[in-house]
Amino acid sequence: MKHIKNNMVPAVILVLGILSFKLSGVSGSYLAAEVYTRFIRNILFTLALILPITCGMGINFAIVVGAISAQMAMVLSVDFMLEGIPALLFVTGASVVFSVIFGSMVAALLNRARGKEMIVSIMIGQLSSVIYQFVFMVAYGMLFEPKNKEILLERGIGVRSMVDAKNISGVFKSILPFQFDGKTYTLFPLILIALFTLLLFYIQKTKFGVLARAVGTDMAVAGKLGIESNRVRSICIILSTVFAAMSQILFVADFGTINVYTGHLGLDTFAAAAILVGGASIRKVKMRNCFVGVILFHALFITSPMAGQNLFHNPSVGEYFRSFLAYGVIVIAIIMNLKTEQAKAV
Amino acid sequence: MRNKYLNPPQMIMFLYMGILLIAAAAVDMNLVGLVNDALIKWAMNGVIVLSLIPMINVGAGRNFGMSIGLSAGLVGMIFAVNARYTSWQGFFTSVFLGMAVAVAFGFVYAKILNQLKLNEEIVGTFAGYSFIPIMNLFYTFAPVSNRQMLYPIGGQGLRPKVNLDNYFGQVLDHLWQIQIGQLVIPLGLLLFFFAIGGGLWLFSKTRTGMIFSAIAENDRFVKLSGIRVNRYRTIGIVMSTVLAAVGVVVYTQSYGILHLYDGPFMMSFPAVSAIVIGGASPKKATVANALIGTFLYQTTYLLSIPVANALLIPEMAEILRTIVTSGIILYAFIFERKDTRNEAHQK
Amino acid sequence: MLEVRNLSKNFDGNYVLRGIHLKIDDGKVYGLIGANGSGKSTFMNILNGNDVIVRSGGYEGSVCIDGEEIKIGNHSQSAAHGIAMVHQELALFYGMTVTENIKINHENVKFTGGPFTEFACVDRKKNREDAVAALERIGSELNPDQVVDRLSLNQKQFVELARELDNRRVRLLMLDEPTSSLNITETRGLLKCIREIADSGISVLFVSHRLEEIMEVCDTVSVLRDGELISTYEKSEFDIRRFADDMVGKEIVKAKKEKKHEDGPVVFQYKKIQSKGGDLDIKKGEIFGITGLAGQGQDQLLDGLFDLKDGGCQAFYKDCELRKGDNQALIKNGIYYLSEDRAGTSLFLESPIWKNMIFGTEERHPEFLHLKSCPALSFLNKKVISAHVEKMIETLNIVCRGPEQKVRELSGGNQQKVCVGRALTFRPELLFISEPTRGIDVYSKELILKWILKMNQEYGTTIVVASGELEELLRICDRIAVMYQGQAFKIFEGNSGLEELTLALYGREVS
Repeated sequence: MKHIKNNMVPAVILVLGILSFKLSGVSGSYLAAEVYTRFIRNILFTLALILPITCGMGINFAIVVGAISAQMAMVLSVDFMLEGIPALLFVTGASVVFSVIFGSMVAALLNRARGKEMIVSIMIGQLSSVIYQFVFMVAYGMLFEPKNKEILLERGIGVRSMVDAKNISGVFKSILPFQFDGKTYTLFPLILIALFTLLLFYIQKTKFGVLARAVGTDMAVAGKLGIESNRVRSICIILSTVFAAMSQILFVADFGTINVYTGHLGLDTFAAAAILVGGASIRKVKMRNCFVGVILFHALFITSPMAGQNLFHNPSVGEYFRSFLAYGVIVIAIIMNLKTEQAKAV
Repeated sequence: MRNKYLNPPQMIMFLYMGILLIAAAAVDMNLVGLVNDALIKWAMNGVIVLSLIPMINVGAGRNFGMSIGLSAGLVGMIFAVNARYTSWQGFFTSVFLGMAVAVAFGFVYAKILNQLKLNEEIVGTFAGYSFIPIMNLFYTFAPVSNRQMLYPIGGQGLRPKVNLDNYFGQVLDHLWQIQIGQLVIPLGLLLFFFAIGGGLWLFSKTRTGMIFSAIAENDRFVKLSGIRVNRYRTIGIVMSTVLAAVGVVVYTQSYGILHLYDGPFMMSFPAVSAIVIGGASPKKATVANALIGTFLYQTTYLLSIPVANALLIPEMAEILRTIVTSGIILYAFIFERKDTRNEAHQK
Repeated sequence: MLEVRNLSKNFDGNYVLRGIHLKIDDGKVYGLIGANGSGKSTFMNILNGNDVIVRSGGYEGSVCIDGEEIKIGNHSQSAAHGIAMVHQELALFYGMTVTENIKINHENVKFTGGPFTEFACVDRKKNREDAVAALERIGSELNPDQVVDRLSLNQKQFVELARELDNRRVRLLMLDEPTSSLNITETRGLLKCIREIADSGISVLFVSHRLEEIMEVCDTVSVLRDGELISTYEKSEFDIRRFADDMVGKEIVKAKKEKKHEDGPVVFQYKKIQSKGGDLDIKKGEIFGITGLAGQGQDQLLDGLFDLKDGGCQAFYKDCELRKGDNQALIKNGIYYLSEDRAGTSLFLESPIWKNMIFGTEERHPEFLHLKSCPALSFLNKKVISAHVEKMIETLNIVCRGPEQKVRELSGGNQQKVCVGRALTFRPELLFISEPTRGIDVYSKELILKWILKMNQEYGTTIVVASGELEELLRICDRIAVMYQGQAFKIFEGNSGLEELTLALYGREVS
């Protein structure tokens, strides 16, 4: 009984998912292939949310900043006309550097906004996203000249909204390809994901992991015992940003094109919804919540428009349903958490 | 009481406006036309900004879930257009019906927010977001017979954009316009706007208004005085929701197009940003804050459009506007004085 | 061996500790006693390198260990010198295991390497061994893998002790009221454990309100009063009466309430609060005092009734039961509460004086409103209000620029006068006041006490005063109830002695 109660959210979503799958009438292999694609594109974003939740900052909607770091690195790599392995190394290195720098800025801001971290992280995400758009739309071509003129719009100012990322996606596609359902997929991202998962698992077992958990449990007590909470929180946010950057690389490498202005939008909400669907709360999370959540959420995400089409002859019904689900699950998670917290605090 | 100095967001906005004015002068723009537009934009967006005031003053935070109230206004307008009401009949039907729907929505919204004191803003944000798809379902299945509002093919579901030219577009804008040379003053629109502002100002002077600000300042004291805090919070939240509904009707009649579906999605952020620019604190906002803030915010946006066009980067105006919006809100969260109650508790 | 020389501490020029000298020998238990606010906590906070001390400008004087002066600028420094502290409120991480709690922030790790040490894997086996060893030292057989949430209170305290002792260099262990929430057997266990710790060569600084424990476990006891060290006793000189005298001080008792109130009808009743299950009756027209040491249940009587705190009590007003949280009914009945947390519950600091003084009294004063038929939407009658508030400012002698001044800008005494002014405006039938004179200057104190008496005598208000200031209670109250462990231990008539009252605070009677 307790088991079911604790896993209420995933259980409900699972039922919905099965219903939606039946109604949509798609084949199992189609669904599997689609879920695989979405899994490798999104799982790291969701994993990136773990550390901030552990250290008590709630859901870090500013993972957008990590995605932006990676987008910048990738556009630069195309601009520098890098190809193959060097391109991949450059992209990885540069996005780590960017995301550490930007991540520490985000952390500094969030540490000033204790108790309001989530909404502040949303605003940080929005602000950095427009500043980034500004840089690539206005400064590029106006303030500095790209090497590779092809990435510019015809007017000579601003990067095109779509930039081909075959320099890195080519590398990905060439490693361990396999055939499924008539299409070619590759195993390489899965290996990278496994590596990052292990890394995160390891971090949780380190001294730092214990401190993060302690800070998340009770910041006042942590202060009494001489733990530097702000530092621990900063590192959590930086690591989260780096994870998000890596995830964006995986996403683009799989997708094949950089959506310069929109590629980083919305992923924070989907990651948040996925982790909550997986049974996490905004204070407590396990890694399995991410895996369960991403698979369930995206399975529902893929099938619901078709289910809507079949049921109401209107695909948008399914779309509305899934966006309601994404936001609604966040509202419910926040309400439930804050209520239990208030009950405890009294 | 009054700040002798401008707060940093105001300083930045004035500076920014100065730069834009110089740039605008350099690109030879029509200043009179600009003033005309600025007046319209001011009142058109102003009511929405005013709608934030009751909630801030009752201590329920800045209404990031404004789309709930806006949706109520949209429902009112859908009804009016579907009934083919034109001109004033359409406008006032929209306003009153929107208000009625907003009262219902507001009660539910208040129920949710009252459980989550001090966290209204994050909950409101996502409550507002998740309300949009619910309304979208309504738009898809609404029993509407006016063909001009429906998708041309299939005949089911409202169009995302419905033109109001044949109904009540600009009806308020054109009321009592005064023309002085090239300058056009939309007196009716401004009066409507000021009347709502004046009403709110008067309200703040009543006993209920005093209880509102008292709750924002120290709700434990108010509770100890035998006043039911949640009741007043509910009143404040419903008021905000109702005003948002009125605001969106005013906005839409001026804009001329009824924008459904994702239309209200991001409308709360500019409004919050405007009132912060006007000098509102998280727990206290005056009508003057809303008036000044909206004027600065909308006018700088208006100025940036021709400048961006002259630079051949038309997207820049929108980008700059969003930078201002989120930058100002971020400022508000990070640099504002913490509320006094928390400080008292730390002692 | 720790020595403290001429230690002083001020908060914004207000001295809470003055010229403390004391010396704690190795392996001894040193007791520190004193009334609330006598400076015990500040003393320990200084030694512990607490944030509060550092942020408010540090301390004066010197702290020496083995004759060498040490600087305590933060908690890590004090820990490095072997000073450890167990807090009154437990500092444990819930949801984490006993071992994790004991080893927090000094975990054993698999490798060390400068900044990367933090990212080394935790050596769980070694941590567990350490935890077991530390627990053994205090004679506890807790399961180190258990999560702390479900432990009993004294088991939790053992975890805290073990954590502090796990620091091998610990020289001085400070215990702040460790027994306040333990029962008798648990207390026994803890005291035994403290003795063992001392015997192993560690000095212990023991702070407690329970004098018997102090007598039992300590080797030396010092008494603090108003931030000064009054006296120090060795074990052979221990005498509970002398402790009580030193804590209170021999003050000249000022004039008491002149006319004793004769028995009136019971207006208010606390059910089942007296020892042996009796009710606590408050009679019409009297001033009733409630006192007790911190946390003996007096909060429940006032804050609980007005729903400021959880818990509470069954209470009847004129034979009608009062529902908890229904403040509306309380106010309707003319029951008014002025709580001790002035900034938190009785003042709008950012608002002008007039608003603070009349807020919530409009229903009893319709003349404050223009539109009497619709109070909710009525404007305030500023003229009447100003006149009233100015009169109040004058009668209460509030030092301010006028009714428009913000309350934040006033001194503590004047803020309290504003609160009293509001109570006077409200003119309740039954007034509850908690700590009416805390944190205010002597002159304002007298004025406020005078007004409490005046309200009682001239307006016939029944008043219940909760306060730790025994001398003041004796002056103004007809009867005083002493709370001990959640019950009214004893009720004194107003003419009892201070000494008798002091002993009752500790649950003792004059033999």
